Amino acid sequence: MKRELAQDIGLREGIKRIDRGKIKKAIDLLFTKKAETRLKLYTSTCIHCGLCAEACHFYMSHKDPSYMPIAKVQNTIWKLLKEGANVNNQDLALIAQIAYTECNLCRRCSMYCPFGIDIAYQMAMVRRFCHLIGVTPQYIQDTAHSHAATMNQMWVKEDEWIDSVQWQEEEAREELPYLRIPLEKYEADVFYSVIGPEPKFRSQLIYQAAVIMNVAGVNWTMPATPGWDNSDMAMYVGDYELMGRLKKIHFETALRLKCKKIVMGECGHAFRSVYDTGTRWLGWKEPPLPIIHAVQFYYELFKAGKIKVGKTYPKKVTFHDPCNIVRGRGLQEMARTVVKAFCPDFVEMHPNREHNYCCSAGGGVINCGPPYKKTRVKGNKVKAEQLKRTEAEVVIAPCHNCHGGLEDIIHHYGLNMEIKFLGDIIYECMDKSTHPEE
Amino acid sequence: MVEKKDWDWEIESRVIVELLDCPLRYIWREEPKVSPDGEKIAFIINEGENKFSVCQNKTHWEEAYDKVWSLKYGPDGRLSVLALTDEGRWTVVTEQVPWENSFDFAWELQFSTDGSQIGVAIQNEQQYGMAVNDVLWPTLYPNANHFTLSPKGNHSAAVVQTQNLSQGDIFKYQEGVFSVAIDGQTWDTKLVNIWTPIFDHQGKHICAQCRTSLYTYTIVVDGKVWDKEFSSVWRPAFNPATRSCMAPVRIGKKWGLAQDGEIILTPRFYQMWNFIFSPLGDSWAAIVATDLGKWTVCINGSTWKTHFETLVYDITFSPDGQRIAAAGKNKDKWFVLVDDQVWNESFDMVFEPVFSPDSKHLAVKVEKNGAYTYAIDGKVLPHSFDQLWMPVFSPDSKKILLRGITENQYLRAVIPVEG
Ligand code: SF4
Ligand code: SF4
Repeated sequence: MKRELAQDIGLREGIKRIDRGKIKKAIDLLFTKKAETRLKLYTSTCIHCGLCAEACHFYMSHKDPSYMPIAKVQNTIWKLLKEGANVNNQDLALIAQIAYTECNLCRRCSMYCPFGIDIAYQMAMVRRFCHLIGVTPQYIQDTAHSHAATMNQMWVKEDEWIDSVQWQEEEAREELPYLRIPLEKYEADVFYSVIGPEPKFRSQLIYQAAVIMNVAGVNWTMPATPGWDNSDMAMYVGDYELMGRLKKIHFETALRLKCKKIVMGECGHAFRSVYDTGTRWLGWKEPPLPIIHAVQFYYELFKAGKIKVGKTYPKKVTFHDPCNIVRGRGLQEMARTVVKAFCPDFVEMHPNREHNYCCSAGGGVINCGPPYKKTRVKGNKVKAEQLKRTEAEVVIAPCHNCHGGLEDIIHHYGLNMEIKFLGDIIYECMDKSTHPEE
Repeated sequence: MVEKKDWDWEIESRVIVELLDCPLRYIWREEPKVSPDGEKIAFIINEGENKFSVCQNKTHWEEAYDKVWSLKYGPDGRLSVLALTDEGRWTVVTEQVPWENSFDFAWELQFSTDGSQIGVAIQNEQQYGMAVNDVLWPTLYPNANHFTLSPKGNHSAAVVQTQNLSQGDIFKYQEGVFSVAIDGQTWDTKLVNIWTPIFDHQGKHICAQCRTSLYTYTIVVDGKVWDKEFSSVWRPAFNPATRSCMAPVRIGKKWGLAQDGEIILTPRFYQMWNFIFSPLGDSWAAIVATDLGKWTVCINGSTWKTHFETLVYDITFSPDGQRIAAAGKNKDKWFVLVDDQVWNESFDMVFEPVFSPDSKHLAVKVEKNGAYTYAIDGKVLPHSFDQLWMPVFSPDSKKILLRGITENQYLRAVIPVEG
């Protein structure tokens, strides 16, 4: 494996502070009999056929065997299994670097492995280990710190959240004079939650969601308390205790307001955490309240005739299937129904649906920040080529991380493409004449 | 303040506001709030040109503001809001009287148990703290969360960030920069994280969840951290009788209970949270999961036989501490659960159960097919409402005050409790 250790104080300082006792403890904690049996099964089942390699955008783009899924596993968890607490500090930092920044936990490779070996599971386990020994990339760790201190991922202060929602309401009233973003409305049908970056950097998404909700006549609310952020970098850092804490406050906020269901904005990783990983960690076999992703919500509104096409979208578009809501939840056809209704000039990218390539931002990779940008962007040349082949002017990606990832790729490879959320398209093209007047 | 015993407990049903679509001057009207005694109903109204005010029983407040939100009746029946003045400052307005202090922002409006003290979270020039009854903390902080007023309202507290953190300073954060400020004064203790500070009944002590490193969770009481550390903890509570502090704690992957730092219930649950004491402190209860998706109630260490697969929520002790009720959920059906028995009917939503003062009766607001009603001692009232507020028992436990909206009328009714 030829890999330079990144200029990241999280890793570099992390290994300086390490104590061997911590490593031993983490190994004992993680490699329980059950986990070890599963891992050993993977080790002995893998026939080194390399089929997973062609599935991973990192390998496909870098063409360097060390980016093959199986190589990443060998260089991380298998190494830990073999060397135990004797693994040296430099290797530990590299192990963290691979696990956090060279695998998106996208699960594409498992689909191609003849034995269904779950690479993402193993990489997530490595991250958990790295969290326990305190060797984590600085940027994503800072995000987890924000989660713990404020219950949102962007250090958004409590008043800033309320203020930005009220501000978006005021702005949107310029367009629809009776529009409301009902804060703290009890017994609403829909509890709408978003991710930390929305009030901070993408507040127009709150505006657009409000317009869609109001035009569709949805009885909805947003909370004025922490619990509004559904995102979860704690899950990706490997801090599962914190992940549970975040999911608890999110669900309990919806339960406090006695809402019927939770609708989440266009974010993939948050959906994975809320719908599955975080919820189950807490002991909920299924979410305590029904929870749907915005794509499904828009689909249901569209099918019920509550959002109608006012004008069609004029540009040629393609659709990027986010891993967490497509491979993870199967929302691909719902998304296409809405996209095709609004965008007559639609073209598929290939591969697509559950076979789509990851944006390479997901799994917390983009959240590890600038030190890894180059590897991430170069590691997704296949995505750039895939996008280019569509000759589309616009790529619709209903996921925040995908947006970040695709933006970097489009910019780096000089593709002349815009990126849109599904909500952008609906907002722009829906028939708004039905907006109720009180 | 009219004492609860002096509320109108006689008249069976009285329409308070005839026609909710009143012809008063507003552009739109927000969700109504009703007073504890049911005699008043209020709305935030938009009067056009970005002017907001309040309408109560069809009468307008005299002032209008650039923005009004957080409309709340306090327990004493006084109506408060947060309002934005034309100077662009936020203040608290109670019964039309604004505070003298105003702030860059105000939120988390809250009341003491008797309603006499009103607290609010505030921000001035990017510094955070609280104000209670128009008195501002003397010291403010770079950030604060978990704003809490003591039950008597004599003290207020929040988790505060004691120093600025530059972006991405993960190591300084891990040294611990958070504390609890009480009336603006912080503990000497600084911790990695602190959550949910809880006052005791007198407002003299505070316990909270905390993290002493990224991996070690425990409870902090009045700035003193318990000796034992856990892999996680949930919200603690003070025993109202002895003032000892108990909290669900996690060891390895199992949850149990600790009191003043010592394990008193060996961890064995998949989950254990929302821990409460009975009003007299002689019993405790918590929601537990005995396994993934197997939820029930644990009282003084014994678990109920009844389990729900989706959720158990809103556990409530009767005033005498002898009974417990909760809401339970299987898939999309909600049930009322009391003393390990499930009431027959299922609902689309079950709200927090309410016991009578003598602990003999239980009233629960429930929702079915888009309409609300009460289920009282297992029987569902025949009337349903478009909107309904929580039931309130009379002090003698013989009657229930119902506050609801039906056919565009807001009414209050007094229902006798059978048996
Ligand atoms: S990035 Fe995706 S395809 Fe590549 S190793 Fe990770 S999970 Fe597998
Ligand atoms: S595809 Fe499966 S069996 Fe083949 S190398 Fe990858 S993990 Fe091993």
